[in-house]
Amino acid sequence: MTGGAGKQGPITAAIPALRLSDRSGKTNVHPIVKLDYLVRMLAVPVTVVTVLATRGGNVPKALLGILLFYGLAWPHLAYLVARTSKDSKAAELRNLLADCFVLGGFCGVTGFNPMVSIAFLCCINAANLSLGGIPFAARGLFFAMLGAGAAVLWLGFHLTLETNPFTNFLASLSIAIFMSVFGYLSHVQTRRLLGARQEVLEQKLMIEEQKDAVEAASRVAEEERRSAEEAREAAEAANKAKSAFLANMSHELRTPLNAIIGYGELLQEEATDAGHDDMIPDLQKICGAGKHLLRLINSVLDLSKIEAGKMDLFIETFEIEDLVDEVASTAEPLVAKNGNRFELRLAPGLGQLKGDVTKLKQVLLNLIGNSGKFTENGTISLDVTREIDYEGSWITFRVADTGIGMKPEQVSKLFQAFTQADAATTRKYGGTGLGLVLSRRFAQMMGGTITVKSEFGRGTEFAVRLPSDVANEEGDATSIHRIDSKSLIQAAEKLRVEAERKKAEGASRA
Amino acid sequence: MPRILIIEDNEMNRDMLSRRLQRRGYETRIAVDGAEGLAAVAREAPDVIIMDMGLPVVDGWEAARRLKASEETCRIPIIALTADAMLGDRDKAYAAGCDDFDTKPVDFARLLKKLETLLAARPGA
Repeated sequence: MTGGAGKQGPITAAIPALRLSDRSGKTNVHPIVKLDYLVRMLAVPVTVVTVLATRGGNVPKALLGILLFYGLAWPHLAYLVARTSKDSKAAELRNLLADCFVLGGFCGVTGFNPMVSIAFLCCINAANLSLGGIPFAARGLFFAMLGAGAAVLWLGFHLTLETNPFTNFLASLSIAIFMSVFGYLSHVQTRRLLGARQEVLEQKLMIEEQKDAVEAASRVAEEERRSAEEAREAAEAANKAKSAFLANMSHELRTPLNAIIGYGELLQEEATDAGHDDMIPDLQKICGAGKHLLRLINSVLDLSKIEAGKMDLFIETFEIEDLVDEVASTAEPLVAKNGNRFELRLAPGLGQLKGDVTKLKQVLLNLIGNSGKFTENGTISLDVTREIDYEGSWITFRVADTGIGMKPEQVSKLFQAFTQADAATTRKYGGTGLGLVLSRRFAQMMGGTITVKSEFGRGTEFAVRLPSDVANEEGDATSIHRIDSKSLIQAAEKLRVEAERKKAEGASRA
Repeated sequence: MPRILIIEDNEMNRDMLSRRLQRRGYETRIAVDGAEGLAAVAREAPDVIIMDMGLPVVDGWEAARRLKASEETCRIPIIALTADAMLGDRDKAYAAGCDDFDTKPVDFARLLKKLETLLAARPGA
């Protein structure tokens, strides 16, 4: 058969190519190949016998050859050709057109016997319509006519209107077989179609359900997000309330303390002037207790601020020697109380330090104050050195004493809040128990450390090690506020503008 | 002797501060809120003002802004006092035009030093 490749278009479109085993790499044989093989095995012998029966004994040798070839070899040959072809469906359709040609020819050779012709044409049409649709069926009829024409040219035109019962039977059998096979095929396809439609409906339903589920899930997620947001807001509000409470408490506690300390000092001065020296020690105790309470409040407030992340560093550059001079002049009277000597040793060329001078001063005074408390008739020294390592430049302040020292188990408790070396120490030496905790936190905030070495009965040494440029260590962390004249001027300008605006508003209202 | 105006709403603090300053030989005037303080300055200009920031009627920041905005009173030094040492109070006080800042309870020795410094810096002192 020589069906042009261009004409194959509508035919191949009528039967979609099934490529079920493409991935396995095997040659893909279209199901119609197998179906047609089966149909041919049944129908072709019947056809051949029908032709023979219709013609009676009058069979030329060439026709007999064709009938034998068609009856015995063709079903297998067609199957093999289609199977081994690259496009098995196209090959099979070509085979079918060959069948049409042959069957058309048989109509011719059987003298266009109505029973035989009707059977053949019915079979051709049923198969072609079922497998290739209307365009293919039309082509099939065309080929059948070609076949009939060829038969007329070969054996001459003659009509055989009478048929024997055997032919009738065979023709009926052919029709029955074909109608059954293609009827069943049509039923299967219809069912498959309905099944597919049902599947599509089910999938649609499933997609709807999934959509609903997704919507429900997103609603839940939205609710959860909202409740998380509410929780966060509540936490923020609680934190704000805590900060406000601390600020208020601090204010409320300081106001009466202000009066206690102030009047206590005033009374001391007046008692001195009036010669009531006997009252002075008691007044001193009132003032001392008041100041102690004030230190406690300040320390607790500082700790709370650190815990809340609200403690800010005020970074400025200062001369280390100036700081040490100031610390020394404040510390000397504290140290001298217990008959101690104060020694100051500064390495040459200490230069400047960039950090929070107030907090550093607080740390150093706290350490020196501690040493003074726990040392009698000894020496307290402050050594300041600068060292450079791979991390940068460091300033180390060492506060050493020749005091009572500590046991290792006491040292381990040093930096815990409200824990002095032990309870007995608190009774004997006083103190808030917060000084070292704060000192360590301040040093950490500035990117440094506080370490301690102590020998029981011999003395203690605290070392504060800070980067010489705290700002660089901390980078541009938000907790650092740089107080410079520029930002103050900007802030003042903002307030001035705001005040002017309010004034203008007031004026326009009046 | 230099005249100091103390603007403070807490009676005990006002009385105590005023008496202690008088003992050091300063002349003191008192006002109990921002409005009264502004009136007192208008009546008789002091050499230094010590002012609480959390004042009723007109608060300390507003009073400081008004004093610093006026040609006649802008050169009078102001020491701001606040009870809470929360962050921002110092900035706020300086931004309002205050010349110095201290927290309560007042360290009297330190306050005296600040007073002396400001008085010494006065033009014509």
